[in-house]
Amino acid sequence: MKTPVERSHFVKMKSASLLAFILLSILLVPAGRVFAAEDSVEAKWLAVLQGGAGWQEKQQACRELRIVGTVQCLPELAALLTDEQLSGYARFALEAMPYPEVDALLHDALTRTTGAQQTGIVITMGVRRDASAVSIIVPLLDSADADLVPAAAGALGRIATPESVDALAQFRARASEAARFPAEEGMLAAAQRWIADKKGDQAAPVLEALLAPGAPSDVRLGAFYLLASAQPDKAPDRLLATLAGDDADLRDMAARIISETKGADLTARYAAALPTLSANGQAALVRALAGRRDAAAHPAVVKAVENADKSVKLAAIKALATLGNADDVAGLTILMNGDDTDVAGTARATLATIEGAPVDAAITTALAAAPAAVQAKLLDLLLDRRAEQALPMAVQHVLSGDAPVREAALRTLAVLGTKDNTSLLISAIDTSPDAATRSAAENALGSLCARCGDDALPTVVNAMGCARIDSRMALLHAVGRAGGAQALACVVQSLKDNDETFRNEALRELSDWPTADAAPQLLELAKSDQENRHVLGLRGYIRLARASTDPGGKAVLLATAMGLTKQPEEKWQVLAAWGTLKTAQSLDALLPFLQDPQVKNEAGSAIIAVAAELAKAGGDSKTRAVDALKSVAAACDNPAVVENANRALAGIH
Amino acid sequence: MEQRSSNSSCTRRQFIRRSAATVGIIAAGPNIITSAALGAVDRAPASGRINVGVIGTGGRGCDVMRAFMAQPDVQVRAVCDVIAERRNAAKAQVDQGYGNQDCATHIDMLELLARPDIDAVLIATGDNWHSGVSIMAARAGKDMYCEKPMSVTIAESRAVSNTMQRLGRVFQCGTQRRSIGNFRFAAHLARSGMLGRLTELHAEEAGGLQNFNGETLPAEPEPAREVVDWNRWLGPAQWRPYNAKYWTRGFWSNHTDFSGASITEWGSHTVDLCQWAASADDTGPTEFYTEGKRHIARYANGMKIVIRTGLRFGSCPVRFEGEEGWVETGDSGLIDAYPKSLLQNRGFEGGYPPDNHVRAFLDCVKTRQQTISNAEVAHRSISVCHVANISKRLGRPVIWDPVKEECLGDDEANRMRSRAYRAPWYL
Repeated sequence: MKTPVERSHFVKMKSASLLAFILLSILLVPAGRVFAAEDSVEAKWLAVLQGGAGWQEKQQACRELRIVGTVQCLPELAALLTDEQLSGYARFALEAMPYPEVDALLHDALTRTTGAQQTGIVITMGVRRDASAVSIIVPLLDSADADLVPAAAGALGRIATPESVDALAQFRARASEAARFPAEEGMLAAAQRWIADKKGDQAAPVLEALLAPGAPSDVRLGAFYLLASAQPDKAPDRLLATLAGDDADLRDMAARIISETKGADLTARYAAALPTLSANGQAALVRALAGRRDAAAHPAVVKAVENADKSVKLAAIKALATLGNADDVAGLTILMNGDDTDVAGTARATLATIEGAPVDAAITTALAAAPAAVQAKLLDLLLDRRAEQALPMAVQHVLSGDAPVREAALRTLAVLGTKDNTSLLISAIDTSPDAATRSAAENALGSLCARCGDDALPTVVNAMGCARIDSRMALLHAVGRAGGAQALACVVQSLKDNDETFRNEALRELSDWPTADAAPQLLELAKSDQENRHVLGLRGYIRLARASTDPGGKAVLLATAMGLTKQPEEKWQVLAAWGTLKTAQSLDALLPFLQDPQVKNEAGSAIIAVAAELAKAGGDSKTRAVDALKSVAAACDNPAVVENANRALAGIH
Repeated sequence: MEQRSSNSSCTRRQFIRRSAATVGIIAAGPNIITSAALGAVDRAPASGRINVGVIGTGGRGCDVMRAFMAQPDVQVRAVCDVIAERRNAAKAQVDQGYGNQDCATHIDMLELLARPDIDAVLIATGDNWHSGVSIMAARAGKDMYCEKPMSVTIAESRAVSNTMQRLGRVFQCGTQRRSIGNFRFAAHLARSGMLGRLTELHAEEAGGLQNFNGETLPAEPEPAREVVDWNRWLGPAQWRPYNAKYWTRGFWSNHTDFSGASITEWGSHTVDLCQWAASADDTGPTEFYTEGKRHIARYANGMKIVIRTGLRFGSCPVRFEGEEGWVETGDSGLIDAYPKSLLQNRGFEGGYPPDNHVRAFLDCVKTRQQTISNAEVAHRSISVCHVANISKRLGRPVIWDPVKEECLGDDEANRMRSRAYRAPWYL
């Protein structure tokens, strides 16, 4: 910051004396700094500016001097301020420099520029908050240059001196409607600055003037918002009066301010005023009280839940998500089961959100006494909340006579069930009274097995000895979900079961096995003379090969798979899988199939996929890729494949 | 929707005078009541609808625009892009979605902002323009959803926050992971104290953009304005001759004139999540330094943000570590924690759709409440990224005062907090 003496000195300076001043400033810089600069980065870039370099080099010099420039570089940068192409770059360098001398240079350049250069200089004066520039910026407010006027107003706002704000206010009074807004925004910006500088009393009259009726809505909103910070003591009365008024925009802004400001004593004051407001005012204030997260507002909000106006009621129910406690559970439970879907949905969301173990306990208590229609919802709520009571309550209700309750309990067991619940779920499958319950129980057991793995497996495997084929199949699926070596052995063993339906189900389970440890078993199946075993075994084997991330291992699996294919469709699958292995080995494997009329187009597509990637490596790989693509274009008869090959070739070239 | 003050007095705006003729044409446009205006079965009638304009219609802009169009109370009325191909593709997307030909197109965002029939805008330009367009949108009386990162410099996003405050606009930064389940849950664990006192918060930076680029490209013939409006594309960045390579994403994304490279590209999400997890939305770290390839931002209480690569679970992963546990998650939706019991068998879907974030923004437009990613919050988190970048570029530690928002005892670092805007643009 400059001293007042420095400011007045700069204002009075004439451009003719500027150079002398700069030179003097340089001499006054500590000697070490000047000498250090001679061999410095700065000296290098300064030389660029001093020489006959072109735009390219000079803009780069400006970028570098922006960071390292000292007062030594100021004359050269100042000279560029009037340059049409480099003026912006000169400002880029100068704008953040901490030297007071920069301001004098800008003053001088302002008088020697017009248009974009002049506008840019004004903008930079504003960014630098150069108070000494106010007197030379103010006349520019009446300029005919449409870009310059808002820039000048913006600069005066940023400078934020009493003089600059007075000038903006006077301009606002005489300006056309079109030109008024920049002045108003400048005044708001200045007030904002004063508030940040703890000069709220200085800002308040400016903001009150902008808040007056007739000003644009957003200017009034901004003034209203800032006024609360400028005069915090007066804010509560002003905010409550606004909440009682009929200006919807200001009312919502008042609510926002209330939600953002601190102070427990204020909460009580606002809450007490709630019943005195209109429905719109109450809804806004309830939202604001929720935002304050102060339990002191709880009683008032609970009362607002009973409000006849739906907007107030909904706002209050929603507010309980942050302000509520266990005492609210009973009431919210009733609302959750009401006929009004908006109210019910909001109450449900609130019950899911209120924090605290006592709330979990209250929901559990309500569950015990609730009718079946409500129990299912409360079980789901306990699950959503991950309440510690959720699992025991689910266990208690999983065999309920009410279908929605049973299914809710099974949803919980699917998510939270442990190995200790395995037998219970097997029983639920066996005893399920309807298809929906059975499906939910099977899903729950599968999820439990996927989560618990070997811990749950013995119980499931033991139960597979039961007589009911549908239950055995469900348990077999659960074994598949469990995964791992024991589960795989169980499924393989099931291929030898006496029941053909069960054997086929085991075959499908094995064919879908997600991990590579099933490859040997699938390979055995693929070699089978039995059609279904061969088809499903080979399909699973190809799938595992395709998913393999080890290039060498993948190639072996694919080569093996190709050797077991019997039908063209099976070859297509293997060829497509080769296309996912982007190596030269793939090309070696694929190219011979271009001679096979039944699969040449599929081989061609795979080759295109491999070659396009291989070519990126350049050198021999690129040569091989090009040759392969040419072979595809020559051998294939599917026009799309040929076109893709040619396009890939063009891309490589 | 309650009757509110009209935004139609846009003629007072500074830029309207420069394009008054255009505004007149738009304002006098046809007043045909379409079926869309009356409200279809699943759409709000026009009186309750939020009319949206889209500025910047590249891939990300069109994706977020889709999320806006999916909302029953939104009507996308106009799209704007300086590149004709993108502009026309966006119009086709909107018209196909609504089954009409009503979507207007603009080359110049000032024309779109001057339209009195637009309530809110989606800003999905390149990073270089995010702050500038946000401020102009506020001056035009629009609320806005602005893609991340919010700014290229600290001064820009500070100006955006101040502008939103003094003009009472609703701003949502496109840091949509604050509205996505797995990230919300991870932040909840940290904010609720379930991880104990937080020690290290890990934020992934984007791969492939770590090296800054300041290249000036040779001049190419400048296309007609209707094809690529080069002047508008450059916006507040200093002038240079046209070269098509500038506006390809891979180039500008780490160019210091247009972006903050890897740290702002993902840090705008991941550092933001760390700030949220640390309940530090209104402040920031005080020390920035580098350890190997990791950029450290240390708070006054000793807690650190570690900006790095190598976390698990897909793009934009974060890891929050406390004295009693940790949690790690990313865009795959997968989540891991210690102790495991913290997760309570929760599962989450992968992806990073903006839909929930867009919905939350629209609700705030109606109630005028602050959004979860409001301008001050987004400014604070992107400032952490910017100071980390300053430390990285200078190659030395930086001491940061998050109250004054200045680097202590480091003039060079302070100069890098801002950049001079090309006239006539100003903050």
